[in-house]
Amino acid sequence: MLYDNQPDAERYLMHSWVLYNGHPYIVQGVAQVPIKHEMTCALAPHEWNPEPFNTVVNVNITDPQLSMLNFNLGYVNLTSPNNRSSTACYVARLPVRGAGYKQGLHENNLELTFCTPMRNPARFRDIQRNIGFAHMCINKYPSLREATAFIAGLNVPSSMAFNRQLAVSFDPELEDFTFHYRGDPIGRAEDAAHFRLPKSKRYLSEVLEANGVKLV
Amino acid sequence: MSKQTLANIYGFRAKRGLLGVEIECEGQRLPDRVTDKWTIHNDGSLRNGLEYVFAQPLTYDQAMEALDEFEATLQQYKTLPKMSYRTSVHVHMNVGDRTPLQVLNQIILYGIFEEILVDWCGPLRRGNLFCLRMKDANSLPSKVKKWARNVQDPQILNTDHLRYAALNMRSIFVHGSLEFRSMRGTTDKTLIRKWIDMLMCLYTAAEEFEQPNQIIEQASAIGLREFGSMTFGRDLWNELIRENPNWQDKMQNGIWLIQDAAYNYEPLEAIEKVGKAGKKANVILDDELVAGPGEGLRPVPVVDWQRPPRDAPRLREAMNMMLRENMDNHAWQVQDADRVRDDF
Repeated sequence: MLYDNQPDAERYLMHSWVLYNGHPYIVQGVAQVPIKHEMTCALAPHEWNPEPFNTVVNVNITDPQLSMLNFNLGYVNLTSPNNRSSTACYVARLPVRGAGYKQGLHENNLELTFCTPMRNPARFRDIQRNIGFAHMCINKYPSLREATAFIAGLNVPSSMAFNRQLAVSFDPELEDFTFHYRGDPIGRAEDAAHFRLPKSKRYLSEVLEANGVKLV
Repeated sequence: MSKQTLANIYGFRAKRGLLGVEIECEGQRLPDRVTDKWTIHNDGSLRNGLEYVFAQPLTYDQAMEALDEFEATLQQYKTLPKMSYRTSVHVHMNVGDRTPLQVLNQIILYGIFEEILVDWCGPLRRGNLFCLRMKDANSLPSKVKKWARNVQDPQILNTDHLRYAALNMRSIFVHGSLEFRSMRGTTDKTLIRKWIDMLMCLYTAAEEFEQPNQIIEQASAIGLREFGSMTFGRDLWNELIRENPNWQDKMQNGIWLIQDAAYNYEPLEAIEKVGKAGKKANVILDDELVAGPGEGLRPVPVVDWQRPPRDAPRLREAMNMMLRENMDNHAWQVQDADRVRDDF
């Protein structure tokens, strides 16, 4: 990405999330390298990255491993620290510019859709430090079986993604599962292992089967 | 089938003419006047640059004349254009007099080919934050889907949140057009003409489908290469994929991105009918018929589809024959699905 000068780069990058070597980092600063016509970014890793916490990585702004876009956004699994609830949140990027515009991921350019209600209203700034966000960036999700086993054991409506684009939720009162695709519910099932796909969603059967959902 | 146009539905006046072109230009000795077909604007995003814009929408032939005039003016001024990363060419296509179905079809066709088209537009346009693809801004396919379910609702697309997409759908409500923003900055008339021709192919193909899902099913039925070739004509299609070895994956990903919108289209008359009955459309009901495993995509009726007017005549017989062969071989399911699954 090209910039006219250091303030220009700083304005567009500061405090937004970027990917470096496939892992999420937040931009802490942009500096002009003296004499050379180069700029560097100071990146702080996500708490759940492999690097030690509180380190800062300095990266040339033209480094091909640095990306503001290739996040492959999708579901983020937000699990409470005590494992008493879980919510899958679909994170979608908006093609938006305006005041406070950032090139990396930032709450100004994201839209969040929750599969099950959160106890507190959540914004991106609330979920960006969650391990689920780091897992989304590296495409790490539980299997469908693990996800259903976890949420079925909770006594509040909960949801969990088992793929970047697929999630399942469970309502303990009604004792049924709902499947979600890219933020929208697509059908219900009493048993997640035997899902009846509504006719109107038949076009998704291939996607579902490819991701371990057994259709009846 | 409803013949209501977008202008009727949203209450704006459809403009005459089909095409609008904006050429952002930096450099030395930029002309301060072209011809009556052009107006000139200052653009804050450019450095010592100007934006040359059609004064009003023009027909295809008039647009080509205007591009000739623009090129002649640059030569006359001995302009030294500098096409930096800040510059681009935007093309508007009037859709005020089109039905929602035609516009949705055009968006879906564009969505299928978007990644290949943007690649052709230039390496700096790939992932450019001024023209994000559906792949990069994953809220876009959802917006198209929402609009497909309720084309009457202007609020879904009339939002600034869509403006910096490679396909700016908000422009419908500002200019009565779809704005294609992904072309790199250039003053090369041949290149701009080729880009317009590609967009015209999508515009024309969009008229041939009675349901948006037929587009997806047609692509699956006849194969991606043939579908691309039929949409753009052999020459343009070959140009698009010549230096794009992964075009099949990109096209398949495009289908997977946009198919949600294609299968959720609610015709205007159905929305009106349901609205009158006081029910909400498209609610999933438990007693709906179900699709079992492997029932994803099925052979579809042949669509009466003609080639865009400037290309060689399309042979419907050839397509029918291919469809029959494909169906005989049970090859109607999405091709290369395994490869896409890996990416998913």
